[in-house]
Amino acid sequence: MRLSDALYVFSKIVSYITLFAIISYIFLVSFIPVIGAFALKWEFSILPEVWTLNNIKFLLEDPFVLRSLYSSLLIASITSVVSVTIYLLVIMFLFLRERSRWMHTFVEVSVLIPLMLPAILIALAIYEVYRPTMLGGTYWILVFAHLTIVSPYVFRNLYSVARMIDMKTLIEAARSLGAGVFTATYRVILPNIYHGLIGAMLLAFAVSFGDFEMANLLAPWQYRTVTIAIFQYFFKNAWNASAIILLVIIVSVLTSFLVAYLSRKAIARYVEVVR
Amino acid sequence: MVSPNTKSFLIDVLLVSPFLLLLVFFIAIPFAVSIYYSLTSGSSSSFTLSNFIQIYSSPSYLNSIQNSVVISLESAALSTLFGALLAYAFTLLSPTVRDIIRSVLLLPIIYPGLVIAFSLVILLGTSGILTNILAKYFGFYLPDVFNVRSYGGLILAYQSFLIGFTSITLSGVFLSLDKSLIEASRSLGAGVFQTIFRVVLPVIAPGLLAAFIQAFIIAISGYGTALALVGGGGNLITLRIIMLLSDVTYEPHLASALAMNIAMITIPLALIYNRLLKKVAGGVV
Repeated sequence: MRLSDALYVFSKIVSYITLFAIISYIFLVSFIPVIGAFALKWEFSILPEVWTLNNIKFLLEDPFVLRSLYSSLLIASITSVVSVTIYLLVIMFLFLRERSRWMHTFVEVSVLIPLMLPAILIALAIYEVYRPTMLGGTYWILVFAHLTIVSPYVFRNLYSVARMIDMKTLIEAARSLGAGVFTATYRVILPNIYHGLIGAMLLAFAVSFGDFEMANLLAPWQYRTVTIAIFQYFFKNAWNASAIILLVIIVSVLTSFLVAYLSRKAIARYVEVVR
Repeated sequence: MVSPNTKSFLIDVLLVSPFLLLLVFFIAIPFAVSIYYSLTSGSSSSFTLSNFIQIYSSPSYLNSIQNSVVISLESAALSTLFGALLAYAFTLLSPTVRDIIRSVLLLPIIYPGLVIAFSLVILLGTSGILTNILAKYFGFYLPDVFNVRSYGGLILAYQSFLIGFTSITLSGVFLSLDKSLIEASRSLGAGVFQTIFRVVLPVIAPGLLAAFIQAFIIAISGYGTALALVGGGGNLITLRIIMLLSDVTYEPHLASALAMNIAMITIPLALIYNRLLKKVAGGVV
């Protein structure tokens, strides 16, 4: 066996072992709370020693948890719908006719700003600026903060779909056939980017639903979110908190698999159109 | 009658204004305000560097900056290494398996960081399940050698979502790596190591750097994982900022100045990242 062959086999083995170890680690940390949500006593064995449904009952009965669930659902839904609308409009703007290169670059770079700045810095500044205004004390202050952190995810998703379906040509074709901008959007663009749109909405929903860093500072007292509830309950009763975590995990799992499925669908559709 | 030019101009304005309003009111103005806050103190509105002087003359604040930078560098280096190995493994797998593994890797990215922290405490904490099992059946008490509620545990927790980012960014690089380049180099008589260092590395270097920067920025600017895992016991910039914003001590000016220290590191890095991203296909964001 030559040295290069041995090295090739060695690198293959190392990468497979790494892959296996990392996937197991991610599975372990992701799903421990799922089992924990059904545990009453779990100390010395692989699975809980005593199982129970009390944690789920706690989840459905505790007024604070229910209230936080309502707040999170409300805030995440508004964030996802509003953010997808805003970025769909700006992408329509970019592709409506020939735009200069710098306009594309400007939008691309500015949606990345929330990634460059720590969430705590944006949250602190939003708190200081908007607390005295009519936004202060309402959940809208958190919605607007979330609109900034979801923007990279929403924009990149929609933008790549828009480029893939060649949105510019589609709009031009529809308009040269006599459709107005609104008809072209409604009848031609929306059906074509449907999968990308839903994917972006789900991602925005999950990011907003799972946010703790901004909510911790910005959420008004009566709109404390699910992640704040997890934080407050964890050191009181880890298994009760696991039941709340279970909810967040369900949202994340559904989102990540649906997003993957939808992006495959979008690509499949694109391939079909090209053929 | 509105002229076609005016009409198309109005449509442009309608389409672009929600985005511009969001950008101005919730990113530009807040950022300007935090710069202003960091350069003023609560008592007077005149500009002063006193916040920064206070930070740079305090060993404890300097220590928090150092801790944050070191931990983020270590987390980023580890996750880039693992991400590269994973991206290499992706090239050996069929597209279907690759897609499934990718969606598993996406999971912790959209989890709140504190969930990962709590899972690790449940598993490896002082009375964690794995700790108990190891102690009971193997007589080995894990916290003696590795305390999960420490900086080491934080790096471990960060890996769960940083690897998702780095491996997905790098898999684009590895998948687009032209196999014929390697074959050409080999057939022209280059050795294995020569091929790796002279042919493969220069091609994937921008991707590796992009993944490293991305992981570093995420690690240094987050605080949810650190708050849940290390809590008040840790001395990190973000934790110090949170402490300055509690009900007892509310000092937004000093907190803004501390946050500016993170921004001064992350903004130039993000600009480099954006440059690199043009050379690299793919990535989560």
